[in-house]
Amino acid sequence: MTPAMARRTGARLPVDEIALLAKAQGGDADAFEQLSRPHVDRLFAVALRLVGDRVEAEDVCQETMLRAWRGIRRFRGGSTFSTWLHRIAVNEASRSLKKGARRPLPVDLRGERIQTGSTHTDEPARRAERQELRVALRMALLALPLPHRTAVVLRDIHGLSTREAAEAAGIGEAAFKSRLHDARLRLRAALGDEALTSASSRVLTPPKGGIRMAAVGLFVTLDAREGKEDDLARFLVSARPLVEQEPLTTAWFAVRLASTRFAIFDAFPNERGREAHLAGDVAAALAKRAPELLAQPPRVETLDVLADKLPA
Amino acid sequence: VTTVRPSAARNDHRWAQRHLSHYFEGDLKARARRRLERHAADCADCSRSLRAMKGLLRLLAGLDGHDQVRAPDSIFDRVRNDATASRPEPDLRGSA
Repeated sequence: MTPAMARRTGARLPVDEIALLAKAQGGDADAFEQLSRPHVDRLFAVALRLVGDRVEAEDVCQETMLRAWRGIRRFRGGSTFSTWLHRIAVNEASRSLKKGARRPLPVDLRGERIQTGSTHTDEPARRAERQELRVALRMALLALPLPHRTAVVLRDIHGLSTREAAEAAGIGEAAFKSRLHDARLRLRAALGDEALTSASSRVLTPPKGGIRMAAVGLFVTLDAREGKEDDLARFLVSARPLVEQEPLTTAWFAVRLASTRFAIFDAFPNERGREAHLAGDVAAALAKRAPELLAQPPRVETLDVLADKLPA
Repeated sequence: VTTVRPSAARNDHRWAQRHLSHYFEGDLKARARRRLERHAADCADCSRSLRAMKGLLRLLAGLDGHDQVRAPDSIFDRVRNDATASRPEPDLRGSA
């Protein structure tokens, strides 16, 4: 490997990296691990944002590292080592999402805690506003088609150069730029200019309808079998943790309307959220228990939210 | 001649809207940058678009620092298993 290639491998200490690369290519797994270690946090973050689920992201990354290890002798420094790893991770994420096509939308972002501590001395209201905007942004990201999400994640969130990001996405730079532009326009439309300009101008204004956290909803009527009222009530209470895991479910209520009549009312920022919920764990659990608990199949009504008041 | 022709202004507007992203990518030549900025100064729609796009990009860039995701230790599990199961064939071309 030439010094020019060495510089392109993207390590802070290219000489060390070259030595590690040579060892790894000779079959030294420890060297491979040392070589890859500086990149794994970001790879995991990218995978998590692409597939939206921690367990799946972990699987994607394990597979990425395995493929990189098995293919390490094919790496010749044509791109940086980091870009090469990203390319494999993007492929693996796409493969994984296709495999799980049954589930329409990635759901689990629990691990991504929003830090409330800020280096600025922002007013609490302003911090809450930005936090709300970040939540809406994560939702909008998950609603993008995968190629668009990939472009934004690589370039705008993780700051790869256009060239690196295009390589990692496996397309030409011009195509990448137009995809990125399209993706940004979609995010902008999803979040609303008002919310975004207030984020940019640092002026304290509450988002007014820029983000609809609860735009559409469901009203599901459940009639308990005689003698099964308490079981149905317990089931509904037990469903709550499942709903917790759905980032696109803004609000969820299980209510009792009469002695045998129950209902679920919930709200979502968009149609994708509603679909994800209907294809999610609660619906599956309910379908499974329905013959035992319900006198008749659940009656599902869709609804549009006209106005709402949600907790900050 | 400094009279503003509506069609030229409309062209400018369409062009500006299409190039917002390029503007922030630094892909516009100096002349194109000036054209976009000059248009945005007179056009409420485009100046709002510029601010919105800037806000979006700032928000996206900030997401990484806020979420601070760490890879789990298990990430090399399959490599380790694979390495103990079978060593990769040596590179016979020896050009590594």
